[in-house]
Amino acid sequence: MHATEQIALGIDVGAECVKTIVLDGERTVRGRSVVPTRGRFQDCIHASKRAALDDAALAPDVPTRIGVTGFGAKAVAEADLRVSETVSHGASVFRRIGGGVTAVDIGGREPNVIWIDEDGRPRDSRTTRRCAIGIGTFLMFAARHLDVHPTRLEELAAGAGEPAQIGSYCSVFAGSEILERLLEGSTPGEIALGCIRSVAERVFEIGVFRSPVVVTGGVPEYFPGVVTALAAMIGAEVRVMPEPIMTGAHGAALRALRSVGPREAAGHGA
Amino acid sequence: MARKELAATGAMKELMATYFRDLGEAAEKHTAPVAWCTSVGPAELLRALGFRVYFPENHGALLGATRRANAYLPRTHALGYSPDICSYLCSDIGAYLAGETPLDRFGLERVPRADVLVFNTNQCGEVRDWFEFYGREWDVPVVGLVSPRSVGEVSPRIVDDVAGQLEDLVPALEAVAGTALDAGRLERTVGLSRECTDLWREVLETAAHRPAPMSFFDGCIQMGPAVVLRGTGEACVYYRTLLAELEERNGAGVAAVEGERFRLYWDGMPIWGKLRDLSNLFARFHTSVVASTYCNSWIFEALDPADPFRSMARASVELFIARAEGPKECVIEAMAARYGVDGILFHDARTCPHNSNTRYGMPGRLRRRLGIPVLTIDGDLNDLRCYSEEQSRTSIEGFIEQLAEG
Amino acid sequence: MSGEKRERGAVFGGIDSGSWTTKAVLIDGERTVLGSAVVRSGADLAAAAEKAYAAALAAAGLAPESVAAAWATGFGRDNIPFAAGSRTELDCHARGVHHYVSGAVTVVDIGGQDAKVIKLDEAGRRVSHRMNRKCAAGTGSFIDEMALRLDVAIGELSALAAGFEEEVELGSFCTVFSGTELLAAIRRGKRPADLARAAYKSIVKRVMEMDVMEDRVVATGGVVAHHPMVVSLMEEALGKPVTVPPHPQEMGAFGAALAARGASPGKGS
Repeated sequence: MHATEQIALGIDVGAECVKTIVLDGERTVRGRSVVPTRGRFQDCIHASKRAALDDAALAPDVPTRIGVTGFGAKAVAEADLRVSETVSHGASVFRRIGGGVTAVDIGGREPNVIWIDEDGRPRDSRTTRRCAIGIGTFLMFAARHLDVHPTRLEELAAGAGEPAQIGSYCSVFAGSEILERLLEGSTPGEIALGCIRSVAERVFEIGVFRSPVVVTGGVPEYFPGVVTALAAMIGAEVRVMPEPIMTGAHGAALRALRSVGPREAAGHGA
Repeated sequence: MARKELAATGAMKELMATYFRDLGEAAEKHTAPVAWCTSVGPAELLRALGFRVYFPENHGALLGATRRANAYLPRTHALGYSPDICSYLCSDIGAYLAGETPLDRFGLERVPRADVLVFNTNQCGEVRDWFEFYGREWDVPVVGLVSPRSVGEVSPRIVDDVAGQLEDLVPALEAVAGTALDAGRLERTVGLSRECTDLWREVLETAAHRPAPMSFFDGCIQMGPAVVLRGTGEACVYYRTLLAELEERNGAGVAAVEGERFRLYWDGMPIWGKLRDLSNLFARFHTSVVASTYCNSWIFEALDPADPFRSMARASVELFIARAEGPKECVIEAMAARYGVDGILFHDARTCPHNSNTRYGMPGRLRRRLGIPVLTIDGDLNDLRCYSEEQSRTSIEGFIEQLAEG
Repeated sequence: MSGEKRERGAVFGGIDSGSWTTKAVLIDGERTVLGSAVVRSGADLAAAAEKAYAAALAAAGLAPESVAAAWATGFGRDNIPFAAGSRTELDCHARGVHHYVSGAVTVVDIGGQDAKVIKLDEAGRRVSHRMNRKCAAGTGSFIDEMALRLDVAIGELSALAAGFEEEVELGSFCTVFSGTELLAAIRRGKRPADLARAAYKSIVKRVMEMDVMEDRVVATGGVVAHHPMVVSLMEEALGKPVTVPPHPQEMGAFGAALAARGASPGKGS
């Protein structure tokens, strides 16, 4: 099969949404989709696949190599390859940015800090302490309490001067704090800003950010304020991957391509 | 409703300011050796050797009281210290890593560097882990006493062991201090320490009066010298002044809480960042927290200048926090009777298991035995994320409503 | 309170300003409920209180001037400008329950954010109360999340759970952990009906851990009002019946109205 005709799908089945990306044999992105994870995983996966293929102007039954990653990877029955989130994010980062970087994956549940060596191999993946999971989920919760759509949280925060004090012990604790701040008269904007900072703090607590630092995942996509806050805490510049929410799917697709087809030239990691 | 400030407090603040400035100078200019000591550690021994003594727990409390602790926690957690452990330790180390300290109000740019760190595990083992951080950081010796916990009866064997450990510490401390221990000086220091704690006890006991002239919230502020300056003459002078003022209040019937209607006992650590809020909350409902376990922790009745080592050892082992549930319950029962309390509030400090007597059923046992209502609230000494403000306010208010109906 | 008749015309109001919903109740001098309302609290608690109060008045066909006094309770009780007084929800749930159920009882109030267990003696006086430890918070809000994940309307959850076939276990330590377990179970293909029941069980387990449930157990709060399976699960766990009084969600507001009535001058105790 000709290289450009080869199609790979990367599916990242996350706690909050399913991301699918379509790559051709030259590793060009041909299509993408993001579908919320609600109800049966299989239904969301199916919907995401179709939407991505539609986006790529490809027929739903086109032969593909399928690489999957993410929390719900096991739910994709037709996967050719399953890779961990560490590997998938590492593959995408190495391809687009290079090696010798720290990738920080901030998604719905657990954030991950991954050191990717010069050769593109993910080493030393660290996550947050048990009680601090639920990052993106927490922001969704905060949005519900403030009566705004999650995509508006940043906008709300932008209008505030000082962040309201929202701790970063855990989502549930912070949930009560949101209520307490509301009662004390903090504006929704100040609370939104406080939530964004709180999330950044939880990521910061994971510790050890060797420069250069790159963030991936859904949170940087929709909440760039988290990245700004994190950079201030680390005290160094923090880059954001292009299309950060698609990182896992992209890496899974790259791996799917690599697992079949012509041998690559040496030195090219993905 | 603001807390009625005690006139003596001004003098106390000056005393503390001088203490810190002196410490800072000693550390910066090396005019005297500096020892870090745990709050119920062998301070008398260190003073007698000419050390300027610094108490990091006091620094922790200051971080908490100025509500700066939470800003420093993430840094320490990132280093690998669990958020479940002592928030004094975590906020103190975090502040150190940030190069900041609330002691800057006394002109200190950083905490005074130790020449030696001296612990006593009678209150908890974590103080040792805390000191070992600085020991590694500064490459200075960390020495101390491994004292038993959960002590039932204070036996001669236990006292002998701790006294022996105290004696064993002397050579190492002398080496750092650059001076030999003078027996007379130790005697005098122990004597002054005893005098200080006797005065402190008298100060606290003025609250047995109805109405009480001071509350637990006053006590948390006033105990400063008893912690960091016991063994000095200045501390005794201060407490005599304070005692006089409190006795005057009692004579005139001046209450810490106007219209005192209910009297409570507080068991557990203070919630440092919420002292004023809680003080106001209780006052709003005409409730005075008249006694506490915490403030009574600085009373060392066993200290005897005629027998310094054994008496220091005994004082260390007898401590409330070092005892088993049985002796602890007896103490609280006696206090409840002495101060005529209507109820007991237990504070479960998340990161301080050793000072939270809520975890093995004690509140329920005391409620049944004493026949008075008890309440447990969740919080922490320094980590305000662990304090459920709304829950606690409602719980306390509900508790007082209950007392009003009973 | 004695059985003395109050002026029939006297109306008293109670507002329960909760973290998720605000409830308002109007009663007459004989403690009969004339009208009530429940609205979402949102971010502006004072506004929600106004809205709930207005809706309750409308339901009762009354003008605000006819209300002698309105008292407040709940999370936002100190932020309601038109309330003449306030009591904690501990007091109000106790008061309200005692009106309907006499004798020594254990009141279990399961709300949006937390749960409370309040013990009353024979005379209806409060003896003790316990609140969930901070790590075990998130009751109604957990149900919200569960409904979202299962892609089911909240009002349909209990009915869905009734059709369970397999007993699935979810942890009961913490809402966030249970939430993760729920996701993992969905991923494994567990049926929504089984998961809905499991999530309810998780909440009940957390509540049961709070205190020893002696005497007659009475359940109040929004969760039991809208999710009857929670009550049957409690009964299973306790091995005895659980009483659900009238208007369990509005019980706090009802108690606040009783407090307003009790505080009014003249005419009886």
